[in-house]
Amino acid sequence: MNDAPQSPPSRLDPEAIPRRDFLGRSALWSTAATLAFAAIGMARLPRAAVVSSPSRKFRVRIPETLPDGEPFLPSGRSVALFRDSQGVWAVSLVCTHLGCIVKAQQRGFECPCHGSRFTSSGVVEKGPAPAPLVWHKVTFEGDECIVDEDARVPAGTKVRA
Amino acid sequence: MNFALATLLSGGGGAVNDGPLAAGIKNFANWLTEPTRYSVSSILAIAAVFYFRKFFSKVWVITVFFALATGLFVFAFQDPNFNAIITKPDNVPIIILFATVIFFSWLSLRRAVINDERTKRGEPTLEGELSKQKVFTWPDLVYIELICLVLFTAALLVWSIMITAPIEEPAATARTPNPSKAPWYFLGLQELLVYFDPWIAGVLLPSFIIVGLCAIPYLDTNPKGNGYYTFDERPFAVVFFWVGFVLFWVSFVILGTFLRGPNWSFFGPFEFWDLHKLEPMVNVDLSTYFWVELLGKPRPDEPLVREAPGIIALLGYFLVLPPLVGKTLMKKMVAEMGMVRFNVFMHLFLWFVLIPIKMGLRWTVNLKYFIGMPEFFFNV
Ligand code: FES
Repeated sequence: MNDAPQSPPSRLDPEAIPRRDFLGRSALWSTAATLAFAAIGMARLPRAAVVSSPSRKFRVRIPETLPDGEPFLPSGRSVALFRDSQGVWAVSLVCTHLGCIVKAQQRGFECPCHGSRFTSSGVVEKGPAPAPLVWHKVTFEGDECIVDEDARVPAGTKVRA
Repeated sequence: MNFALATLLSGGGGAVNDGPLAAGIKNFANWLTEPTRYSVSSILAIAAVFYFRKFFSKVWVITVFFALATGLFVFAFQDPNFNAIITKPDNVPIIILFATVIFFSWLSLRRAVINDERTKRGEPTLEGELSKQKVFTWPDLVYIELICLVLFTAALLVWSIMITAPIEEPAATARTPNPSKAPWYFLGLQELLVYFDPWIAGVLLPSFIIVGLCAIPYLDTNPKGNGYYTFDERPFAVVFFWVGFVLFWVSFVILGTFLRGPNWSFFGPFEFWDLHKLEPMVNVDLSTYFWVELLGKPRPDEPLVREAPGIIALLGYFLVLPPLVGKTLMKKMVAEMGMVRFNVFMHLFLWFVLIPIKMGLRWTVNLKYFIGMPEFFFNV
């Protein structure tokens, strides 16, 4: 093997077309197939995929023994009910920052997600929350309250039986 | 875990039957991990590490450091409060992260110090010397990769069997776990959400981080430090990396994992996670500071007028600082990078610096927002 071996074709030499062609075509077709699948998927989007949830309006009886300014937390609802001499009111527990459910503390509420703190009437004291907690509409029916989680009332609205 | 549960039930903290020394160490650790002290002391620590880099890059120094750290860890492990946090299955990787980040940062520092000395003597760098030798991909490289693959898979299998993933309480719309923590790799973002409006902390800043990282090869055209470790040739770049990644990002993760407790309050590592810990402070907007505290009148109603101090401050920060710094402190950089590169870099850099500024102001003077315009969903 004395004579110099023929140098193999360099990567820079023009390449035969067919292989490129194959790669290009398969890329094209797989893109087309992906898009088609995605389109089918998207076509289904307008149909609402909702699980029906319980009514946002609920009935609750506030215990007689509830002291002034202490929150009453109906289970399974993100609402705190309060009662004092001027009446009853309901403060939403949904944090106005990103929607975590705030925790009732000795005084006011604290958010477990980014540490916003609210007074018991919902005013922001600390943390990133931009707005006070929402007050929900409360109506009386006999000695039971009906709280509507979809209806908001101006803060400070207290109702009497 | 049972131990931790027992103390939780008895309601006791950790320091009940500690001797004075142990109690002293724990109290000191709790004191030091208050966020402002933690940040200031870690910045000082990084400065010291770089200033005395010859000393810190010695092998015995890191050995002693890790020995001490292990000793401290074993000691801390006895504490029920610390133990309860550290043994949570999802926190185990953070301890590994802690050790590996420190070790590899140290390794890079060591090689940088050695390289700088070699360049001073006119010798090629360690990596430059290495790259003269060639090896085969197969089998030299692929074998190593195969061995790593097998070992890591085995380790992961054992890990996943020994420490089972935690399953929390059933999801319910009316209940949020307290504290509610993102997965560890998102804790940095969650921490940002405490200080900025959601669209800034959740959209703008992450985009800047990603775009900024992608932009590094276009912004940084300095060939020095390519393919080898160095400090003397690139002090600014190296320090920026350490502060940005090691100090901030990794600290955010560690802070979010170990120091954030119920209601997203800060807790020292040996502090009992009291659900009712109250931080008696009220956050105040810059506009309140300006109008009410400084000028002594009520805040104007018109949002733009009300927030003028914050708007002016931030506009000044972003528009005046870059040319100012470019004409004075970073003249050399402008000459090397050109105007466009420098300005892009400067703006990314200023956004980065804004984060610790904002965090520091929140921790020290309870600043809520520079500009607080909930009317327009614009809170910075
Ligand atoms: S969701 Fe409540 S503070 Fe962020």
